[in-house]
Amino acid sequence: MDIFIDWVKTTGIYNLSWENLVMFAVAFFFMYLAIKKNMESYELLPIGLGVIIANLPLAGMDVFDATSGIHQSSGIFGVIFYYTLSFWNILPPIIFLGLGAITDFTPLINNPKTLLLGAAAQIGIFVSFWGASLTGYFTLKEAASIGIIGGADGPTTIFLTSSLAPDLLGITAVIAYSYMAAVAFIQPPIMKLLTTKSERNIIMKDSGPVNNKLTILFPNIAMFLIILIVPRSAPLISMFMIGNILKESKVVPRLVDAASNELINLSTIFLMITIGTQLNGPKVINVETLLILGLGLVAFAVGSASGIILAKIMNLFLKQKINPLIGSAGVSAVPMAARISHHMGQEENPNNYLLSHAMGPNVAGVIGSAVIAGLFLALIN
Amino acid sequence: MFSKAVDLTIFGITISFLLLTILIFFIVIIKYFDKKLDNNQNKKQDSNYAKVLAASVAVSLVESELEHYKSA
Repeated sequence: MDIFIDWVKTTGIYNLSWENLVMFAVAFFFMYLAIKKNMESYELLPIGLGVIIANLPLAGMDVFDATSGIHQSSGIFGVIFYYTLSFWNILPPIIFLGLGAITDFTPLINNPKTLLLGAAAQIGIFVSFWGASLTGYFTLKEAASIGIIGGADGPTTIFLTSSLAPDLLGITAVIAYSYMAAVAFIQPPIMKLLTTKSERNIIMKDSGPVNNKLTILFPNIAMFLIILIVPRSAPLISMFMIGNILKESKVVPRLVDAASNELINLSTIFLMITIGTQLNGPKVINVETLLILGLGLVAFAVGSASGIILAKIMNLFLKQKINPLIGSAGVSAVPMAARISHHMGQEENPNNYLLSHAMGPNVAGVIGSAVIAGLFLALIN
Repeated sequence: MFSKAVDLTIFGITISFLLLTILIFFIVIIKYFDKKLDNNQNKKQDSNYAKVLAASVAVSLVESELEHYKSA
């Protein structure tokens, strides 16, 4: 009988807590969004699976035993977390290499002033950084990791949080991806509230293709300049620009193919499941998590609003007006935020094609949030 | 702690706007020189074209004169 009781105590069922059950519900919700609604499927599905693994008691998949040196008692996701995020922090830059290889700077080069909209959208990061500092629940490092959610850029959030506040990694990453998935619900009301019907009707002219020399020169110059001014952003910016230069050179199609397919896919599988395994119920169900959820939403909303407001201010001085709807695309969330701007424009006027114009601030947002991450690393770490 | 957050905010927003403004400046400069280079190349091509055209007209004139003398 004693053996039976001992065995029962070693089962997962005996050790299951209500927090684990809540997290199972969260995991199934993520999986539902990914499979049924096709929202951020590549991120939310593996994250959901990771959450299930993390909340099966005593499975030990997310454990990392650094004390033994042999690591036999460590779980695969514990080892991945330790070596690729905590110790080396290499998965986010690898994903950035792939993102660079699928990014097109043409809209940005055609209409360079849209870079400013990407900068304006970063204001959301600082608003929630302030908010997190004021709550008294978080240190400055944690506040920066929460603020960066407003950049709506998953790999950047993971990169910064891994360095500044590894304990918050799971929750900040998941909240960033969840809000990115929910961009279609968060942004449209803000966009409608801040723009008039005539502003939403503004038609922007297409500038056509860009000389290949320019598309190669731009990422080179951007890489030099940004890394010289904010060196701590180098892991993200350099990989992003290298990926893009490989693509624009048009002489290494196999490398571009590998970076934008195999490399990014493999990294995404390991990164997302590992992030999911950081969401262990008893660890993450607390007041801090609720605060991060709220602050992340504030960051996202303020970022979207800032881009729109700056576009409206710019229109006061510009001859060729900018449709303010593209301002909200400054919060990275590539390419969903740009798509939302396009759809909102088409709702007003079916002949208004804003997608290529919105990609400008969208890409600028990726650069902007990576720069802010570098600044936080340099000045807080 | 909050005063450092305020300092970081002012500095961060300033740097990000400054950096992206410098990038805009570079794009405008590159586009300007690219346009100028293209114009120069077009002009060069035009002047070469005029020279080649003049030469071919001259050659055909000489040939027709030669034919004329031969037949005469």
